[in-house]
Amino acid sequence: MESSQHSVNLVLLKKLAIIALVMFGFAWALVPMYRVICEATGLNQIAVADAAPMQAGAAGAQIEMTFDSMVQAGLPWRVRPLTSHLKVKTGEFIRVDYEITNASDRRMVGQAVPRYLPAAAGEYVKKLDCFCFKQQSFEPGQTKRFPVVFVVDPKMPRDISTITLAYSIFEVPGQGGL
Amino acid sequence: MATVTDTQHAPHSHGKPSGLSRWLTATNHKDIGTLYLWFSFAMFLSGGVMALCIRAELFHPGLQFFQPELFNQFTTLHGLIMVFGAIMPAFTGLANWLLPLMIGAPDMAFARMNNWSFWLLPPAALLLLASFAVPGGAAAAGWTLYAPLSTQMGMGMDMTIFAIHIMGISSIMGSINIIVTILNLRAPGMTLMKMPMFAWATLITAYLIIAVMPVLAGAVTMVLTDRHFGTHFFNAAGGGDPILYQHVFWFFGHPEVYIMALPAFGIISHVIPTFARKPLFGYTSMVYATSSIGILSFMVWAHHMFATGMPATAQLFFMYATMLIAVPTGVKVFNWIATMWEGSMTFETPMLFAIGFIMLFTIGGLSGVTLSVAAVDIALHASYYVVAHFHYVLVAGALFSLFAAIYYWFPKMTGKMYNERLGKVHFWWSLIWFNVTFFPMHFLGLAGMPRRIPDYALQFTTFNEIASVGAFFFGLGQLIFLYNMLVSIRRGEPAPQKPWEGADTLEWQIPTPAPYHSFAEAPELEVAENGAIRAMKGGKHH
Amino acid sequence: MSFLRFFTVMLGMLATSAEAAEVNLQSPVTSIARDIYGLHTLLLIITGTIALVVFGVMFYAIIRHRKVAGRTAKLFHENTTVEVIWTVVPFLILVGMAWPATRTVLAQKSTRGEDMTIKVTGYQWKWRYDYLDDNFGFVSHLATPQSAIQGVSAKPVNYLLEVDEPLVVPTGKKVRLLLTANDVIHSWWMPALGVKQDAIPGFVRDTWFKVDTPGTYRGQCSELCGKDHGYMPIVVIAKSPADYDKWLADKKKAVAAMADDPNKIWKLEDLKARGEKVYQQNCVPCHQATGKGIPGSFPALDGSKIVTTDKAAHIHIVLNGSQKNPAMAAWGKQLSDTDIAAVITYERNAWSNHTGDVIQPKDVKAARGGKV
Repeated sequence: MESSQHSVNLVLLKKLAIIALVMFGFAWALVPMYRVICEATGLNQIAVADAAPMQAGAAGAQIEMTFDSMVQAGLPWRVRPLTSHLKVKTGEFIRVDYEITNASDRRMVGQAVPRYLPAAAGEYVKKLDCFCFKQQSFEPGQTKRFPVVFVVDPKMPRDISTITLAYSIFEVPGQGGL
Repeated sequence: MATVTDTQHAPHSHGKPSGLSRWLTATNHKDIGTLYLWFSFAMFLSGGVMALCIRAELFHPGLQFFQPELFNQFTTLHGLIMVFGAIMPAFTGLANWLLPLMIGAPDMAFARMNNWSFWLLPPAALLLLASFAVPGGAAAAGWTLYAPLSTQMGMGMDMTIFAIHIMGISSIMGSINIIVTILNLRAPGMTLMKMPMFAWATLITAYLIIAVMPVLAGAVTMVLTDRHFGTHFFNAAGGGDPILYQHVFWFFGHPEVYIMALPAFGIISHVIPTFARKPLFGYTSMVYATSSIGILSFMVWAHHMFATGMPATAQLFFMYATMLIAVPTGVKVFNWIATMWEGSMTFETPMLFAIGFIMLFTIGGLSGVTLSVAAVDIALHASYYVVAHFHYVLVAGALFSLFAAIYYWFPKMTGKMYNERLGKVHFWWSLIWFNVTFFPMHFLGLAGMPRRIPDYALQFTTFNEIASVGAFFFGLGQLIFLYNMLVSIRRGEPAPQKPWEGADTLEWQIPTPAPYHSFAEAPELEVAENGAIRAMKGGKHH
Repeated sequence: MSFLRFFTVMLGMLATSAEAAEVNLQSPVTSIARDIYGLHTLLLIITGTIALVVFGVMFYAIIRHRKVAGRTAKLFHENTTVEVIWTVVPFLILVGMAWPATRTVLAQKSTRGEDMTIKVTGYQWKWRYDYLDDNFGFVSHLATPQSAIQGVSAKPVNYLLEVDEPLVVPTGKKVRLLLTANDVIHSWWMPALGVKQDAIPGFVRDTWFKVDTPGTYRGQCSELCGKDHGYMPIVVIAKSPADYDKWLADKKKAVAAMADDPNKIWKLEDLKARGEKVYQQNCVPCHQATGKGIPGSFPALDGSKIVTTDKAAHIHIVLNGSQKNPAMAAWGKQLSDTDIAAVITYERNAWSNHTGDVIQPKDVKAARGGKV
């Protein structure tokens, strides 16, 4: 009797311990899950070149765009769009220039990540050229200008009438060296 | 027949071991329960001292006693110690003491693991308290430890993370023990749909703990690796996202709120029927309400994050889900009041605390409904309104129910009666000063005072003064409780087997104080709803 | 019944103090804030009524159904009808609440059709505002002096809710805010405008407001952001469009005039005086007005080796921040060459540091180019 009760208890103990371990794993699984959800909903976009949408050229709805940038804490870089506001039409090819200065005294490598507001607009901004497609290297004190070329997909839902595109700029550690 | 798996009590099964080793190597559920309860009371006092430091600084605008960094350490550690050191261990302690008595088991299922789960707690508590002394001081990012602020801190944060790991392991082991005991060791006749509400509540709570404490462990481990091992879970610069931390934390954090509330519901569901001399109204719906609160608690976490800028659809989903929790919670309150209705009530201290619980918990619940409305939450999030809300739920909820429980079961635990007069003074004192302390905080939050600030604008002065005065008197009043306990344990009147006329659960069928090895042989029971004993055969004690 | 008497005294205290202190939401000045105010009042009435009914029934039972009144308990413990009613009725009440709440949530989230855009950046522990349409910006610091906080001098009326550079906006225009943060999460809370939005480092969020009436509105950071979380207020001044345009023109002129000639050669006293201001705005929270720092957390500058000897290292750490202690920010991004030269000159000549060194803006400019 005693030993059978003992083994029944141990079986339940093991099951519960497995639940606890699975939940610990679940916490870590939330990281990729969150990423997938954010990408599916367009919250965090991966920066790769898009193909121009088929209807490109056919002018469509009027969209107001705002351009901006954010620089990681402690990174002595200045990043600014030469145009902060633009009225564009869907289907039009647009070019906006960004000027980036490395105001530090060392060679540095940075990576830009585009963020969109509203987040859902991200998948409709088709970027053909962007400095965010690869890491960019800067000499001390160097200033560079980059064109961003994109088309707003005419398939974008009509309820989106303004889009903000803000680049978040980060240092890629270990790439610079003093 | 139910037996305990790994106890060592064979060598001295007819007496208790004595001296320090009785406690260090304790495997008896009553000894371990006692240890948990005293530990949590010590933590309650140390967390309380931090609260008083906070209120002292906030008595007047300007910095009088503490610099802001120390103030932030107090708010952080006050929260962590009260949640993980005081409330959760206190409920585990009660479960240890009472579950075997209430369901007719000889002890908890894994007695040696029970010992480990308790003895993990004091080192964790020491780690937390010692972190005040290390360079940079204790963690100061709030009990929520939001990244990336928590990645900025000194080694006090690492100590806090390790302490959370240890306390997490302790509570998971404790919960496994509770679940196995309830599912496998009930005496014949004690069926699941008849067993006491307290057993139901601790069972569901234990499942919640097993499900979410590992998630918290994962979240703080990610903070740790972000701090020291170059990962970027919560750092946008490495492709991470600070908001991810909040999602993971609150996936733990909201069920945690119910981990601290459900056992209270269980306790109240025994105290109210006993002193109304009536069976609990709607036992079955209580069981379902408790379970559905447990399940819903996994679906509402992002209501803590309305100000982070979620899409409108997400805000609406979490708003509706949160409002929905009010339904089962309301059912419980209505059931308790229906239990009192047409009863034959007397008002001993446990009953007073239970009624105080219902009133103040309802106020906290209703301010929770206000906060659940996302649009209004934008105005109240991170303000003193939230501080008022969760203290109504946790102090008046968890703490008052714990006082009700201690007074209610004190005779069975110690064999003595507590001093009824002092108990009543303790209740009225706590009730009044609790409200003086926390009710004005609603006004402060509405008027625009943010939480977690060491200093405030002049228009908030009056209510802060009132709250600080209230807090000091409330704190002082807890010494009445301590005095009552210490004196009554030594010199209290001997208690009869069943000091409460209306008590009908199994623990009142055995001698007072409860024998050291109660139900060494399982009794055969005839049970009605909520664990009421109709007949008992056998069930020997040693 | 001494408790009762005591309670009445306390209630009296509350009532008299309520005249002095606000007990409700701040008077709303935007449509969203008015919606929130109305919703809160509605919720207060509904929850208050529920509380009164529930407690009324409970206290009736407590008074009438007690043993000393000679009652014997009626042992009922189930009633399906009652249980269904008290499940369904609260549910319907909640649906009734959800309806207006949903409308307000959707309005809060609708940032379309803005008239102007301002970018808000949270720093430990100050706010930066950039007027994106007009290409200028400024940093807004707490204006309350340390002496008032430490209780040495009297506390001003707007203690802790005053800034050196308030955010100025026109009334009747939809102002859209883009929010981000530099270091940790901050939250921009302006109660009278019904706005609270977290500012998240590396991400951008938006919110909006349209102020009806000109006035000065005050708020605070509402997300714990470290040591001086309680000391980063927000002040919004709403001006009529005409006044706003005048302010904008003046501000633009002032910004142009502020731009210092980077090649100017400064005298020690002038640079030190300017440096003292820069120091108070940016350095005091950690290094303290005394230059003694906070032992264990923030190093002392008074007598420090870097500050009294190695000029190049001093410029480097101010420009680029500390590799060892992340709390030391890279000020090169936030401050001009002249301000950095000024604050370094001040530090090298304040307290017991009497180096007599003058760091010129061109030295800083050279250091930025990596040619120290």
